[in-house]
Amino acid sequence: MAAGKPVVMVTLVSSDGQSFQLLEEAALLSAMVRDTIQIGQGRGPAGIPIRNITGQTLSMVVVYCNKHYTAAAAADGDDAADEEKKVANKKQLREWDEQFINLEQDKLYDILVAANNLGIDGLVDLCCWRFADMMKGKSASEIRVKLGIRDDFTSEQRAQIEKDSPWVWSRTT
Amino acid sequence: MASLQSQGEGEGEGEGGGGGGGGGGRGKSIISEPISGVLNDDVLGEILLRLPTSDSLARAAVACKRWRRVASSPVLLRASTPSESAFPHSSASSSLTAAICPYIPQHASGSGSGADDYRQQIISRRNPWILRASDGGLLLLSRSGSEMEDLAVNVSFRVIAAQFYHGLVTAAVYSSRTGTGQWSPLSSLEVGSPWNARDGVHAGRFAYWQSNTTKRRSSDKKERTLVLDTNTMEWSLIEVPFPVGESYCAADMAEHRGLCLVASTEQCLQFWVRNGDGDWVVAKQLLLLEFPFLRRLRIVQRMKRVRPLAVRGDFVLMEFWSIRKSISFFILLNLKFMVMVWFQNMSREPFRGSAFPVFMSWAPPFLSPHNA
Repeated sequence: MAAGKPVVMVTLVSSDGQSFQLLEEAALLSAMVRDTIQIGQGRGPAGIPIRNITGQTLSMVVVYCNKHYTAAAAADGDDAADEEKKVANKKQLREWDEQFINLEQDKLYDILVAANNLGIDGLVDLCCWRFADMMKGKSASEIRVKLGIRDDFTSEQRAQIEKDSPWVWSRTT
Repeated sequence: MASLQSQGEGEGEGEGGGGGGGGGGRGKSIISEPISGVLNDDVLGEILLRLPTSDSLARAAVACKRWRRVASSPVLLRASTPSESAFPHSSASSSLTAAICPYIPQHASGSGSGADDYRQQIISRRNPWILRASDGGLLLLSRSGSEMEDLAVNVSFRVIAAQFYHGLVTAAVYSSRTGTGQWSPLSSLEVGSPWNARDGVHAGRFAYWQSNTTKRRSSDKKERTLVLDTNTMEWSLIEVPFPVGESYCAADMAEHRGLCLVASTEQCLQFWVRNGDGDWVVAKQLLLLEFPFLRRLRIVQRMKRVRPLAVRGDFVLMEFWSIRKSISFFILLNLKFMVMVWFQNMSREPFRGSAFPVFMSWAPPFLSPHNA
């Protein structure tokens, strides 16, 4: 934490009425929070209402923001000279990210929607990687099953796919 | 660590918890389409962008209609890059260039019977088309207020990557039809230096790379263009029949029996074709100032130069620009009916002048006759 700066907290309120208090600087990872505070709102006791995001999901998002804020603050505080330590810290944060995002699909999906609505780029990126990772090496039908996608092609389109690229139904060899 | 206070009925979720009970019914049912349903196209595109190879992208693209549309965005296709291993001279001094060529449906050649419909569509649309993004030489157009429409697509495409190195071109082709992720090498060819290749451009069955020779008083270097016929996979190296520095594009035009070079001198559009002896001759000329709109643009906006960008079917896309102006105008001309639409290019610096990496590797939705 930067010395001399007063500690400012903000409160985020989930759609089901749960409140989460965190450092304003951590909350600023969200573009939506940044915009709200910039227009002079959200600092009051009522906090910032976050629509469409439940407390369960928001709690995860808050954990992410806190972790990334602390990591960034620690990196700022360190001497710039210590390259090795910086690399190690980055690696550590990446490992933490990987573990954090190793979630069931339903939760992952909720967090992606939340991160996108809140405008937290790093978290969106992380979720997208995780989803892409789930699809990697799978056949088209496996992707459908895994992600619960309904095949809505017309029979003509299906025939065209069959003709053009029959190999999509098998896995990467 | 900053404090996290969970009031109310917080469940105190740990990091990365398995979340066994969180599933609730959603996601289990195949009708509810978890990702597809709520995430917008941008986010879905972000996910697909992170797929490691073009064959995994092609697999994801046949999951459902919407995924196919999103996966077919030129940015995504372009991003599935060739593997470095196919090219021996990967280094900073030689950049890799590529052209994406969709397989052309049989009925797409010829003049395109849908031209009437197109004219109707173009005229009836009220919102102007705007340049939304340009990525690695691909142009994305969209209308304000709406996302891109169903953009051309077949999951079938080929990427032809070429590397120019010390006057030699090494190339390889990747086909989505084989699905092996393998690149097959093409025969290499001596093209001579200098060759300032930008990315390859797709025009009908051709892919071509311009040498972009710089105009210098002391130099007698000619402008050349390297053309690959993607049906026969044969190269031809063409010395263009007009002076260095003139803007041109190559086109595959049925009425001129194939390869055609479209160049502009002053405000005159020239269509060059090869005659029986293999010499280049002007088959057709179009004085653009006969269009009142362009005449007015020239006077009011002081636009002088015309850069032909692409020819698809009966349509020519060109840019009307001036070296002194920060804006330019895109003009889409229907050769059959001699009508045009235009839209202003408000883009900032990167999209201007010779730096404009336009080559319409993909026809915009309203240009492609087999898209209706």
